[in-house]
Amino acid sequence: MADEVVILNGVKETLTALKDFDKDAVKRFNKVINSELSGAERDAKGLISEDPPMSGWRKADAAKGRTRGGAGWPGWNPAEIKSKITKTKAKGKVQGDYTTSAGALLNKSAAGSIFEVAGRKTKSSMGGGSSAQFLRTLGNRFGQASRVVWRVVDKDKARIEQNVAKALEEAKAELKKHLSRERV
Amino acid sequence: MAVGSIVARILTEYSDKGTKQAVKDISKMEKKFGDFSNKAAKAFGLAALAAGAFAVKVGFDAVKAATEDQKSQTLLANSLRNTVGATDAAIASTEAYITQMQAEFGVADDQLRPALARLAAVTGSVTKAQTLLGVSLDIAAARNIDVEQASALVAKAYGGNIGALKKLFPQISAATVKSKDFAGALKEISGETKGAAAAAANTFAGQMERIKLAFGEASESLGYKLLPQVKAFADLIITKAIPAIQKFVDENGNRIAAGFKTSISYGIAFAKLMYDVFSFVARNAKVFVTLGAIIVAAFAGAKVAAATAALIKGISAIIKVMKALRTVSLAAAAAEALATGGISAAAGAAAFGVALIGVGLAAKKFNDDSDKSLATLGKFGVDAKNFAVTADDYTKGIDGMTNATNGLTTATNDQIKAQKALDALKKFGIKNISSTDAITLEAVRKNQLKQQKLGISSPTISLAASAGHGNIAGNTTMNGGNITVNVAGSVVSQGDLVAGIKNGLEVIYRRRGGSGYAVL
Repeated sequence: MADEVVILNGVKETLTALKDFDKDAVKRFNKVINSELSGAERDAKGLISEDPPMSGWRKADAAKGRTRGGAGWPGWNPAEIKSKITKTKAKGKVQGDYTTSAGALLNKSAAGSIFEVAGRKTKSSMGGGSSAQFLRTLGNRFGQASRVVWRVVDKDKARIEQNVAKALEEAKAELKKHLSRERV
Repeated sequence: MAVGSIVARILTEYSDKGTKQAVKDISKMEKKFGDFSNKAAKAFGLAALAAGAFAVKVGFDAVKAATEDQKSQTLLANSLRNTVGATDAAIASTEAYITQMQAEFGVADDQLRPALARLAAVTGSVTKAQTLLGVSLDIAAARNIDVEQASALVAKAYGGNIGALKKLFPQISAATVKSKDFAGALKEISGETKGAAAAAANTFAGQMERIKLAFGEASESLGYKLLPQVKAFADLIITKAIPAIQKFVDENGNRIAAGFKTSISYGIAFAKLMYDVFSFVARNAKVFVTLGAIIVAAFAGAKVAAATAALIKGISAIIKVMKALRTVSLAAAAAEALATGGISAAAGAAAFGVALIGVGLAAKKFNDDSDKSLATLGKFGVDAKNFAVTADDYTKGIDGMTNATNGLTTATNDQIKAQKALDALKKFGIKNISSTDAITLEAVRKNQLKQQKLGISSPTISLAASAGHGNIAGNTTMNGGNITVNVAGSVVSQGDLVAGIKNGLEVIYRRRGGSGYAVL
């Protein structure tokens, strides 16, 4: 992820006030956010292959057993995985730095989540057995962890932030212009 | 947001949740911003009302802030003059320096001024004080204490008491403390404190603090502009309004006081009167229960209209008495009359009692003159004007009223009986009857009952001749043949039976062609 974070401030207040003067300006701003998030969502879905990441990953949920390919191990259903990659503008939990999400990508399917984060904590070099082999193969074929939504965010976040921040500034400027005009 | 899913945040927004000071400041700003935008938007639609209110609020806050700021400035200027002999130019320069520090480090001028004054007093130099103020700001930021506290520690250290500073910064060596080497102490802590204030000011929280202070400064500036107007208003109040009010009170005070006194005395008198009246009602609840009984009895009778009229007259009598009571009580001698509360209460009670007797009599006779109730006042020797009666009169009145009520009850019972009798006669179709005597009505009812019985069971009497002696139906009965009398139904009396036979024989006689044959 990018090191620097652009923190948007006063989005709600600006839009609420601006709505009274120029609804089109509000629509323009919302369109920027929505199109940026939609683009990211589309890119993330594009990273999901139609075939399972490896030959042993069944396409349907396994009936029993505990190992990979057994019960509890989700099948690789690309349609379901893609449908559960979504964008959201919901506000999440407020972090310690007094920030919250104003736009994010979600990866909600079990299979998609495994594909996204497998090997993030457990290194493939550690230990042996099927788990290590799974991580090695996954890493070799699709790169290290953060393979879907995080990958897209890492790649595009800076650009999206800049575009949205610019749109917000324009909205604020628009509001200011209206207020100044009305005050005369 | 979904729970359990992977969330990759793209856009980050500041949130005012979960903070304390930051939340307070931000929400305040948001509110002011929101208020302003709302009011600005409405102001142009609804003229200047909302904006005016906002302006008053802003103006009030601004003037308050400016007043406090002015006080703070004056204190610093006075301190600098006294401690270091600062000139006006030096004081102005210090104010500029403080304003700059406030903007740069996000520390309020209200905190900076006392700190600077303290350091100037210790060092005897404005320049040195300003330098040490910078050090104090760094210490305050490094140890998260306020600037005044930090400046106090620095001032002590400057005076040779480095121990206090060592408590915050243990790295200060014992040798430095012992030698009271202020410069050495600052050097030892500089590694930790240098640039702390600037770094803190550049954090997000620090920037918010700076914005808040900038807003406060703007508010103060506005306040300074408003101060002359406020001062002029205050002068107007002090020099014009208050003296005018004072003069008015001086000139009219006695009259106002007298007016109040009179009003209050009337108020007290009236309150006491009301107390007496209600107290009387409470003490004589039985009387009012009796009154209720009279009303019920009166309306149970047939002549409702008459009873109503009687009651109205009776109640009018009560009203007259009450009016008289009120007139007397609120007259010039109100205070004296009410002072003798027992007599007044007794008088009121007597009047009520007499009035109730009036109700009783009127209800009994239905058409009596209502003034009779007032006339009864004389019977009991009540002086309606002065109410100079005693409690005995009231007792007599109650006794008289009880007798009257008993009489009324008997008459009413008779009337109820008569009404019942009339209702019973309605079953026989009799509606209009002039008599109201219960005995007569009962006799009528019994007669009707008898007649009804006769009508229902009227006997059928027929005559038949014996065989061989002719046939009555064929008019062939001859020469004294036997005649059989058939009776269907009950015959109440012998007379009825004879009459029936006689009628039958007459029929036979007529059927024989009027030959004049007589059976009997």
